[in-house]
This record gives sequence, structure tokens and C-alpha cells, in this order.
Amino acid sequence: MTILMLAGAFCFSVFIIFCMDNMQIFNVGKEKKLIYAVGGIIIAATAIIARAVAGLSGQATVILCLFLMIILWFVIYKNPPKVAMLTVYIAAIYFGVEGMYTLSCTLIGREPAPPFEYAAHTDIKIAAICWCAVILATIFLKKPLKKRIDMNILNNRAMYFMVISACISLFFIYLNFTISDTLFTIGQQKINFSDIAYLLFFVSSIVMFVITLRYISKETAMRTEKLLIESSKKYIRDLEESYNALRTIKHDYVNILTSLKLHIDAGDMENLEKYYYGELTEINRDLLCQDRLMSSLQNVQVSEIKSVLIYKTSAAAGQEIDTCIEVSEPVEKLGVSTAIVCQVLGILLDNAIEAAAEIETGKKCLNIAIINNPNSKTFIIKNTWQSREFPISKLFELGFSTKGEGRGIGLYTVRNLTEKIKGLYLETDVSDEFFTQIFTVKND
Amino acid sequence: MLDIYVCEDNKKTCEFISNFISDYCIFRNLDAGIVLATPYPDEILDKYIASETPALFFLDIDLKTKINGIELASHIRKQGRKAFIVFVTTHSEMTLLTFQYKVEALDFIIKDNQSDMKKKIGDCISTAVNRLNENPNSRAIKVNVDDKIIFVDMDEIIFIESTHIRHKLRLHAKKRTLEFNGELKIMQQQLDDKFIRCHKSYIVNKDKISSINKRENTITLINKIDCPISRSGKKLLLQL
Repeated sequence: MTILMLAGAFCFSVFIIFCMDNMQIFNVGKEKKLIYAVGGIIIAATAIIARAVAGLSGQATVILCLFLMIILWFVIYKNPPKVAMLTVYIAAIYFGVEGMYTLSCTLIGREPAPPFEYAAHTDIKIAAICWCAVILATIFLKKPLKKRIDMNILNNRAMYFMVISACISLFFIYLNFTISDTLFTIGQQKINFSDIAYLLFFVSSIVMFVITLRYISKETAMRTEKLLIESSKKYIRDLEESYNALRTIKHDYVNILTSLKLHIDAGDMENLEKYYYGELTEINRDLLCQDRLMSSLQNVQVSEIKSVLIYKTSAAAGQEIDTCIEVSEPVEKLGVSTAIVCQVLGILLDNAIEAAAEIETGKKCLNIAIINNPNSKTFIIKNTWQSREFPISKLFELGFSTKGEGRGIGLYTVRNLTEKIKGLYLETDVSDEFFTQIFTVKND
Repeated sequence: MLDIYVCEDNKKTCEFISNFISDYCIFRNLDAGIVLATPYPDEILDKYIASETPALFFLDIDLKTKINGIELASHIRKQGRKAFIVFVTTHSEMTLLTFQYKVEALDFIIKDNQSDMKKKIGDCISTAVNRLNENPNSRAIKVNVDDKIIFVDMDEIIFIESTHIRHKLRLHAKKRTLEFNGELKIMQQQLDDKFIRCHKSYIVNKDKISSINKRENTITLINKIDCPISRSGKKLLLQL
């Protein structure tokens, strides 16, 4: 008898370690596995001694085990939310098994044994089946869980759900202990309060689980949204800057014309000539350079896109990047919201400028082209770059950047947009010399 | 064998280019040669349609006939065969990227000093010959990015995945990622048997797998991307 109990308790602790590892909710390192194994055995031994010496009931023993386990986790993790989560998880597994066991016993019309006393009871087979079912369930749940739950976002609010869930389970456990009267009978079978309590617990834990999952996926969506909002804010700032740049150019022109007018009014041809060929050509070189860019931009009839292009190209020119824009046909209507297109263009251009500016030896070039296709528009952004070896598919991952920590949000945002919005296509090509982004937007 | 065509309305330039090409091919002992040098685009097109060998074109953009070099190039592209197109032009501020995109030009040669031109023509011929010899057996797959058709060499493809949008797929190659319209099921029919549908939303090139993680049910590809595998996909992979 005692040997059976010992074996059962040992199996239970091994099972918990197995679950932890299998679910991989937390990374259980090798050394921690050892702590678990030793801790599990100690807990099991304590429980058995307590049961044998103090004559604790089955349920009380289980509660004691859980309690000891919580202490063990505190020692290992020193992280209350994780411990709370683990407790709920293990409690859910245990009570899931118990619920299933009680239910199936009731269904086949047998008196269920008190928890953890199957060994002394004829229902050991049913209990074993229940345990197996739950173990299998954890194996099959592993993948979907892993996919959905990003542990980093298990922050305070998700923890509330966990705590509520834990409270509900404790409440049912308490009820189960205190009230064990028979409520009603179905045919020959007495239905105890504890049966109902188990059933309610089972249902409530499933509900809590679903709520938690939903909350977590909502949280993920919110986080993406936040990123998007941040980058649109940046876009608005860019827009303002671009208007300012335009105003400066206009202002310069007015100044030049005014000074020309002064000379003309005075009829001072000599100084006019001097001014025109001397200072003006100097100024003009800069302005004309801008002008060449501007003239091809005339074809861009979407003002937001135009301002982004103006601003970014002037920023590029400021970093001594040889910039060229080709728009040979009018660009009017786009099938996707202009704000999104601008956002993507802003990010792609920022990256292009940054990459070109980094070049130490060699030409810094940025070529931009907008092409009208029958059903779409294609934006090509091609820049020279200091080529590096890295897998290009990694570029679009959050936090991946070729330049240190805390970056790499831009292309991740772009990928999020092309992933979810119909009618946006991005092609990225790299060669030793050039980095090319080809961004296609459908017309409708 | 690489056929070389020259279409140039200026007689002197035409002669200069074709003479240089002949010399270059003989001198370098290349399996290539001029088949036609003419100012008339129609002749070029007729001859090209009649032959079946891969070709390299040197086209002037402003031909002073009813179609210009760019239109001629798009006619050549319509044949769908392997062809390299190089534009020879005086337009220095021409919209290069646009044309490059539209007809996938191999290069642009600006008509200025002859030694620069010679060097660039030589480079173009070498590139074309090299590309032909590179992988004669490799097959390309055709994908549509809206209006545009892009050919991707199957050997280059690492994997193809689906996106959240129906009929939009993403292809990953070593030096390229690309989003396009399509369905994985149809893609797999077009791809050869190197490709395995390892998951309902992934097709991977089995030559590009660097490791299989049986425990996590993922595979790591040579571009360090992990991609999930389904149970049936795992079976397929383990049979290899």
C-alpha cells in the first residue's frame, strides 16, 4: 500500500516536471531540472510522511504538495507572477484530472474515491485514464499555446486574470472541503456538492483560460497598433519638416528676385551682372539642384507623397548623397490609403539614406523611381550601400538591425503592413553594390 | 551559343559597335557572335522570332522609326525567351531606373567616348555569356506581382510562405524577398520535387535546410529562419 502511494507521489512529481518542460512556458534549464527532480521527490516524501504520521486526508495532502511546490518555485524564480501562473497551471491540471475522474465515475455509476486514494480503490483504471488524457492534452496544447503566448506581454493586467482564476479555484476547493452533503439523486446515483463544485471549477477554468488567451492576443494587436501610431507620428513630423523646407526655398527665391529688382530699378547693369554671375550662380547651383528634383516631382499629384519625397530627398542631399528621382508619368490615384503609402515610403527612404550615408569609400547614390503600371504603381528605391553578409529575410524581424540594439522597427512595421493590407507588395533585392526596395501599390 | 543583335540608326556608331563586338568575341574566344546589325527594328524582331538561341541586344533608344528602342525591347520581352537587353543612348539624364524596371535592361551604355563604350560593351557580353553558362539546367518559376511577371530561379528559392492575405505569398531567396499573388497549392505544382510542403503555409527547398529540430517541430533554413513543420511535413522530411 505505502509502496503504491510512494510510487504514485513520485510519478506525480515526475509528471509535473515533464509538463513544465513539455509546455515550455518557462525555460527550464538543465540545472533547474535537477532542482525540480530533487524538490519533487522531497515534496512527495514530505507529503507521504505527513499522510502516514499525521493521518492527513488525500485532498489535504494534495494541497500541502501544492503549497510546498509554490515555495519551491519562489526559491527558484523569485518572481511572483511566474509563480502565480505556475500554480494556476498545475492546479488546473490537477483539478482537471480530478474533475474528469469524478465525472466519469459518476457517469458509469460508481462512487468516486477521494483524491489520491485511487490506489486503495477499484477505480484506479479510470484515474489512470484521466491522467493520461490530461498529459496528452498538454502535449497537444503545447503548440497552439506557444504560438499564442508571448511571455513578455504577460504584464499586470494579464496577471489579474490569473489571480482571479486562482481565487475561483481556491474557492471551489474550499467549498469542496466544507460541504459534502448529497444535493440530489439521479436514479440510484447520489450527486454530492463536491461533484458540482468540480464541474463548476472545470467550466470556470476553461472560461478563464479562454479569456486570458483572448486578452493576450488583444494585447499583441495593441502593441502592433502602438508601433504603427508611433511611426505615423514620425511621418507627420516629416511632413511638417518638408513644408518648412519648401518654404525656405520659396523664401530664397523671393530674396534673389528682390535683390535683382533693386539693381534693375537703379539701372545698375554693372552690378547686376556682377551679382548674377557672381553670387547668384553660387546660390543657384544649390537651388537648381533642388529644382531638377522638383521638376520630376511635378508628375506626383498626390501632395502627401510629394512632400515626403521632397523632404527625404533634401535630407539625402544634405548628407551628400547623389539623389535622383524619376517620375515619367503622372501619379494620381492609389488604391491604398495615402497615409500608409507615405509611412512605408518614409521608412524605406530613411533606411536608404542611412545606408547610403554610411558608405566611407565609394559613391553615395539614391535613385527613386515611380512607375505607372496598368493596374498599379511601383516605387523603386535603390541605393548604394556598404554591403554586409546577413540573411535578408531576417531584416524584417522586430529588433533586427545591422546597426546595434534598439532598432529595426521600421522594416518590421512595413512587413506588418504588407502582411495585412491587400494590394501592397514589397520586393527587396540586395547585391554587393546596391540595395533595392520595390514597393508596388495596387490602383484599386 | 549567344546571338548578338545591334539596332542603331547611326551608321558609324552601328559599325563601330558591331566591329568591336566581333573582335571581342574572336579575341576572347567566346561562343557568341553578331547575327544582325541594322537600323530597322522590324528586321531584328523577325530574325529573333525565327531563331531559338538566347540573345543579347544592343539597342539605341531613339531609332527614328515608328517604334523606339524601348518598345522594341518590350516586344523582345514578350517572346518570353532568355534575352539580355542593353541600351545604347545619348540621353544622359534618361530615366534609367524606370526603363530598367520595365524591360529589365542588363545595362545602359552612354554614347560618349569610345574607350568607355568598348569597356562597357565588353562587360555586357561577358556578363551575358557568364549568366548563360552559370546554370544551364536551372529552371525558373514565373510569379506575378500584380502587373509584372518576375522569373525566379528555382535553385535560389529558400522558402515560400503564405501571408494573412488570401492569395498573397512571400518568397525568400538568398538575396531577395518578394511578395506576389499566388496560391501555395498551385505553386507546388509548378515547382520541382526539391520543394516540400512542410506546413500548410510553407513550402521549403529541401536543399536549403540546415537543420531539423524534431523536438520543436521546426526546421532551420540556411538563412537562419525557423519555419514550422506539420506532422505530415515532418514525415516527408524524415523520409529524405
